[in-house]
Amino acid sequence: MEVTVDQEMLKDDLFYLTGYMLTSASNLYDEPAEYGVFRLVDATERLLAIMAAHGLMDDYLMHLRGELREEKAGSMDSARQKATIHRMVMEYTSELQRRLVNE
Amino acid sequence: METINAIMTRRSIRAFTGDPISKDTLDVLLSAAVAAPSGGNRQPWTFIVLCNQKRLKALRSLAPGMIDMPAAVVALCLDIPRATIKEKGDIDEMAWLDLGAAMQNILLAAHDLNLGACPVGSFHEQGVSALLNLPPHLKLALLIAIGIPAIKPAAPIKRPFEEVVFFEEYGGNGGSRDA
Repeated sequence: MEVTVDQEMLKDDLFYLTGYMLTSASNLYDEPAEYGVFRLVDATERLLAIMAAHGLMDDYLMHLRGELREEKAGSMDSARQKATIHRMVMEYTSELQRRLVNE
Repeated sequence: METINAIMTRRSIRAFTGDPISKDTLDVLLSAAVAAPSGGNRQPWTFIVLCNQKRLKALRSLAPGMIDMPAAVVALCLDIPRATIKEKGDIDEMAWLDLGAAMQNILLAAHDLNLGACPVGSFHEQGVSALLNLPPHLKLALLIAIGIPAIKPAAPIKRPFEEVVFFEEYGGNGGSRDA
């Protein structure tokens, strides 16, 4: 499938993402350590949002983004969050293996 | 909506549909904010409202605590001269509570109008202050993200009543209303 990317819009979106990640790093010096986990989860979802806006998604990434959005909107319960993120990494690993086999 | 019901059912909404909210609706929220009580009626606040999408994107890049893209943001600022005890030259700590009352009024008014809102405390203060062109007499205190709720989270677990409420003196009656 051919994907057409609006480069100016993509540059804009990535510029804002850059600012978000840099600001997160700066703020984390004065914030609780567990916020760091949340910022990385958020950064992953923000990256996927940019990919979605530019037609760069597939079924797995759309599923992952949906899960991340739910995670972001939920309560910050660290034990539950740890288990959820671990499961996502294992699902990612399965997807990774599937893609390696299909290469 | 009954006030007590509004208080009890309000949640911090961090995910929004992306739909806009009207200027009239924002006016209602800001009217609720300025109706908040303040010590000595000093009203030590200024509210900056953002609803331009490009400026919201820019703001969000400097406010990691703003989880989703809201339809609007209210920046609550402390008006330092109004908050300062002239005789001492210090900011009266009660002025922060005044801002808290204004914040809660916005959150409850938003809930009453079926909107979602969430206070955002994680932002780069100097960066956002520059973006908003704040003059030196205004100190950015808090951002409130507002929009149409996409997800309503479950009620968070609250500390037991007995742990936080006492009658007559600390430790008294363990929260019992009986004298």
